[in-house]
Amino acid sequence: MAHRAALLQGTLDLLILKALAAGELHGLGVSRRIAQITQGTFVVQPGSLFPALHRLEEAGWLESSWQRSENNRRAKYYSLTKAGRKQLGEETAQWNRIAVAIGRALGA
Amino acid sequence: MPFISRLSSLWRNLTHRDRVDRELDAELRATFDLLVDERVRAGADPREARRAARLDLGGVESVKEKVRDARAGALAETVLQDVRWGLRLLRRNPLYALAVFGTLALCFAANTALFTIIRNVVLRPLAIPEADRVVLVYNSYPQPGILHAGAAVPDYFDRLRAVASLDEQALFDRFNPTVNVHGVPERTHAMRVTPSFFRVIRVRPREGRTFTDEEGEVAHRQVVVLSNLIARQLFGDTAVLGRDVTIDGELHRVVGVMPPEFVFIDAGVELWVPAAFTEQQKQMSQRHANNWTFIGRLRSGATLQHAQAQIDALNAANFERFPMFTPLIGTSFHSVALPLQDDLVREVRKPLYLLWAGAAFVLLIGCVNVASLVFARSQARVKELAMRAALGAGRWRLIRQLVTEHLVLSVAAAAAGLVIGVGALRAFGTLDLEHLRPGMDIQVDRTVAAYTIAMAVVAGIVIAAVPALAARRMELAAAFREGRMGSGGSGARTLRRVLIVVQVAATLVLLIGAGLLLASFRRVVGVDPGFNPAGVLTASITLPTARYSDAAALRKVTDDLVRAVRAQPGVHAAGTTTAIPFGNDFSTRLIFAVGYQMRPGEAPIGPYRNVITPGYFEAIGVRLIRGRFFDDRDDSNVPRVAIVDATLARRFWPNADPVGRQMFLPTNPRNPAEMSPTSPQLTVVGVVGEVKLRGLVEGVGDVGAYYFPHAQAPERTLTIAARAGGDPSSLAPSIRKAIASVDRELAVFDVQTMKDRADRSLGSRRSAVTVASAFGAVAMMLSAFGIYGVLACLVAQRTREIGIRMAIGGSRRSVFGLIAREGALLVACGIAVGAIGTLAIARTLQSQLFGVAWTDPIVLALACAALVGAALAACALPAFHATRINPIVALTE
Repeated sequence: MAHRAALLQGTLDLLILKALAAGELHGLGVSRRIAQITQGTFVVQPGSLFPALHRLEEAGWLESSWQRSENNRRAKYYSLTKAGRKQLGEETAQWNRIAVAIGRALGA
Repeated sequence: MPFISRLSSLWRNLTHRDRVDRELDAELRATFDLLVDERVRAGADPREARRAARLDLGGVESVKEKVRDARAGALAETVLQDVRWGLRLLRRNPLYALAVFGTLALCFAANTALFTIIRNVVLRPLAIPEADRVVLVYNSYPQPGILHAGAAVPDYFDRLRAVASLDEQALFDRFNPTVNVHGVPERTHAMRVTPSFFRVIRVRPREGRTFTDEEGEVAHRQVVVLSNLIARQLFGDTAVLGRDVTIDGELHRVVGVMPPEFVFIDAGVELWVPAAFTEQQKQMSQRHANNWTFIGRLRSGATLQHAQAQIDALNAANFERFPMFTPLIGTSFHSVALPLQDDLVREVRKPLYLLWAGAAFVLLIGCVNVASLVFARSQARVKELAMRAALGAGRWRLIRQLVTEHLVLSVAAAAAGLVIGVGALRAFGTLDLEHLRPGMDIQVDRTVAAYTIAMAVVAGIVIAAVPALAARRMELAAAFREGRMGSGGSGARTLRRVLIVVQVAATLVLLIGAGLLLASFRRVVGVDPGFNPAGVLTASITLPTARYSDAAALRKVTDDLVRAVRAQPGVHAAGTTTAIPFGNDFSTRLIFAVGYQMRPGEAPIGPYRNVITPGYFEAIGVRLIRGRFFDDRDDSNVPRVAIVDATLARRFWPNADPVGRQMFLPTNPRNPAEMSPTSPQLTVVGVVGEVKLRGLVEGVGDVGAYYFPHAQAPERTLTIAARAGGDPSSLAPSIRKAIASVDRELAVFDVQTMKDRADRSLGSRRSAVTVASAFGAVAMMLSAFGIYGVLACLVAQRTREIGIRMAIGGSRRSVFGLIAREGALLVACGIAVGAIGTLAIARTLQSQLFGVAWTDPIVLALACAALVGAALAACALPAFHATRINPIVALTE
């Protein structure tokens, strides 16, 4: 937890979309996957996670369904919609542009 | 996200609120279970796992709240929730709700009523398409004091040729023909218009057509356009077009009927006939006759300045073309172009805006009271708010709830205010304003509704800001401990004190305004009208040209009429005039005194011209200063005579006896002041006191008036004045009978007592005073309640302190002083601020006053005294209660 960083504005949405790119997950699973793919840099609290999930669902980028979890509990699973996939592509490209630009700026 | 999808999700959220909520609940519960599972699998004790999971998840309610906020439509949803919650709270406190609702509704009603009048009178005086493009052009002669004359026929033809910035131009003139309605002669209001008139105003008839250009030529068959009202009156539901109407004894063919809602300047106009100009009317000698009104519509792209410049150039060129008018340069003659709407509201705008400002002050005071009340109650609710905050409601969420609650109240009050305000307008008429004649429909349009709603929203937010500010600063722990919030905090207390100061200040301004208007009104009523209105009945007639074609006929019928009226029992004296005091018909004409040397720069004057029969002065009771009144000697066989009033006498013969002196009427257009052998000459036979013709305030200006005997200058539109021994209104039937005995066809109109005329001439002043006084009284009452509320609250808060003071020997007197001092200080500050506020409006107010300076010490002192009296009474009650505090009870509580 030493490296927990503040989330940049808008990064959370991108991370959630990315986390779900590999397949559907429940809310807690999304949180765990984000911690995993960022190697623990970002740990998303429920107070931020659930509002974001619902917002993305309302935006039409995620859809949800109730399923049995691996240890047989009912949980709400989220998955990317077609629009969500497209959004992930766009946000990734944009993020990369920004990252490159900032990297250059800082390296200059 | 596409708008539609956002909307549909909003709808889903609103309609399936419960389902969404349940699902969210289930999701969070599932997450909790997953978290527990995770820990148990990692080897934790189940109870420990549950505790850790709960910590991990954070406050469930707070997460849920955030999710709700995040969802589309979150705002709308919480608003609905707040509204429901707010209504429930109000139901539990009906007295509180009623006080807030009632205060606001009354304040809104006053504001809405005034705004409705302003909207109908000032903002939209002309209900025609693109009314702001219609300009009025009038001739002005500042030197002799004739500021607002009309336009002459040659002006119209000149401008048609030379003023390109006007698309369409028209002349019109009002007259009052007698129309035969099912055999009964009725006097109507009508307009003579050039055919272009309807193109300027751009209103189409309901059926038929308006006038063709040929119908504006002399000797064309006579046609008429009717108002919807008179069309129905004359022909009922049968076809109207092509029928004939008898107007002043001549048949006119109906070619069109205007729509029912059509009003142009005067709602009473019922007919329009085409104006046809004879060659003689177009002649040079008609220049500056100014008996028409000129309007035009600006060409698209052209501005008022363009039109004004072209008219100025035209006037300058005309001085070159017609050198005989060069003396007029000395009168500073020029033509003024201005939007017709501005001209229509010139006189009423200021008093209305002043009253509106008064209504706004009342609203301000009302809002302060309500805010005070709301604040007091929000202290009682502090535990509820603290509880909700503890359960995870965000601070914004709480503030939003407070605002919503009060918006609900405020908007409901606004709806009631709209109904009350407009209802009152409909029921009690329209403040007797000249431009709002009876029968004019007061329209409540979207603008009025929007104004009321905007007012409600602003008031609601302002009112809710008070507890919301306190909630922002709320310390949860302290709130739970003490059961109240912020109240002890100096910030909140200061806020309430400031509110009281504002309230007292606003009340003082209102009281001073109302007091000054009242004092001014008393002065106006006290003005000597120059005659004795009591016991006088008046009735007007117009003698039609068809039956009374020449001077001899006019003389005879007038003699007969006066004789018939005098013969009625109960009539002590009777006579006729062309200009009855407080009436509508006045004319001013140039007149000169023989031998009077005008000072350099002095211009000829046009005093008020009256043509009267012998007996008229006696009937209305005018004072004779010198010489004699007219009598039967002054007929058409003797040289002309005249009577002047004291004002004109002072001007022409400041140091000499006017009786026996000569005056003459101008005949030479090149030089009106030059007497020629053909100039009619008049010998002054008497001087009378000044009669306040136009009204008690306007009088006859500083030009005065002169009187001609009717036999020497007969006229057609006459008002008969008869003095009764007793109640003049009882004479009405016998006077109508007397007139009918002379000519059954004559339409008798404006039968009313002189007293009624005088009263009506004061109508709009009186209503301004009434409204302003009502505002002042309401403001004073509200302020007193406000002061009482704050001090009562103060006493309640300081009960313990006062108990201690009394326990250690403080006297009742000192306790009383403690509270009363606080109140007195607030009132004193309020009065100081109010004095500054009064200074700010002093100039506008002064323009509405007559015979009173805004600094009038009596009014200022009385206003302060009334305010201080009410405020002290409001202070005394809580101070007295403070002295009744039982120290033992106060300290053990």
